[in-house]
Amino acid sequence: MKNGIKKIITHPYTALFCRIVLGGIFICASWDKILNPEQFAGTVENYLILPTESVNLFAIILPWLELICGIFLISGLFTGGTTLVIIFMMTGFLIALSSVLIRGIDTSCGCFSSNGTHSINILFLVRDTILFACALQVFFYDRQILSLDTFMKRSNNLY
Amino acid sequence: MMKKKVLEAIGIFFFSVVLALIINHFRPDGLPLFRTASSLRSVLSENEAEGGVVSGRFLLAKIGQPGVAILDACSPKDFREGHVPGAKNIPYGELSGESAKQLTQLPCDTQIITYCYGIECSSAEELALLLEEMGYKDVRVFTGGWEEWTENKMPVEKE
Repeated sequence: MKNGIKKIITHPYTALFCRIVLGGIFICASWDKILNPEQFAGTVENYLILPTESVNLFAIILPWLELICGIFLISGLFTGGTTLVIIFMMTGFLIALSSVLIRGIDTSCGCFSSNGTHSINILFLVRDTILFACALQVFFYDRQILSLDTFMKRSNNLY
Repeated sequence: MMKKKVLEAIGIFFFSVVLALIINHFRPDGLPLFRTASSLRSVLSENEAEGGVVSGRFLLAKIGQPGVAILDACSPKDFREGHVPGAKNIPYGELSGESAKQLTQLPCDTQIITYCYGIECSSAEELALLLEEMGYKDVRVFTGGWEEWTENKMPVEKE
């Protein structure tokens, strides 16, 4: 039983599944923020974590970083590096959400839309922890199935 | 192997930063890179012109700043249910020994911002007048109050 679970967790196809799901989630998460940067900057400001000066810069860069990571993950391009960036981002998101919950601040997440209506609660932390675990799974067990990395390696070997 | 992943991650990060900044520069609704300098100054001068009345955005920028006190003139029960992060409860209608003592503990050069339920509530203005009579030079009122604060989905602290 224990071996069976371990086999599923470490299986390359599980990594492929996590890679595509994570990639899709990151692309979806970036879209509304890219379309409404001012609203997203307002949401970031409401977390009361970043100095006001740096809020805009963060709101400009983060959605594009999410989009690029999402596209690279789905296409399997630079998977190792992309997953490392996602692990760093997820760590940051988990710290930010925990900090908001600990301080008792009632604000919207802004995770998938620039102007969400749901206040942050413990379920957001659970969701991000699952995504963080998916990122770790891809980082350690991805064997580059259906990926541009493999395609590029094969092309290089041919010539 | 790990070194390659780290280099890829750094490359992806810088690529995203450059792409985000270029696109932000050319899009019509692009954000200024740094939030405070221009926006906060304009809010400050606007507030001075309006004679001590401040906006929610101004109040948000003042949260956690040294030398600033935010006073909530709502009832203790409503204060416990939610208030501006870092605010102190001074219920004007029930100004008693403990609340009055808290008031006198504020240094004279403190910038004080008061608020209550909303535009129709006069407690914040009455509290501000009292504070001015007590000798505080920089007293301002957030007239939009709790109603405007929550309507704009600003951060909320609960007890």
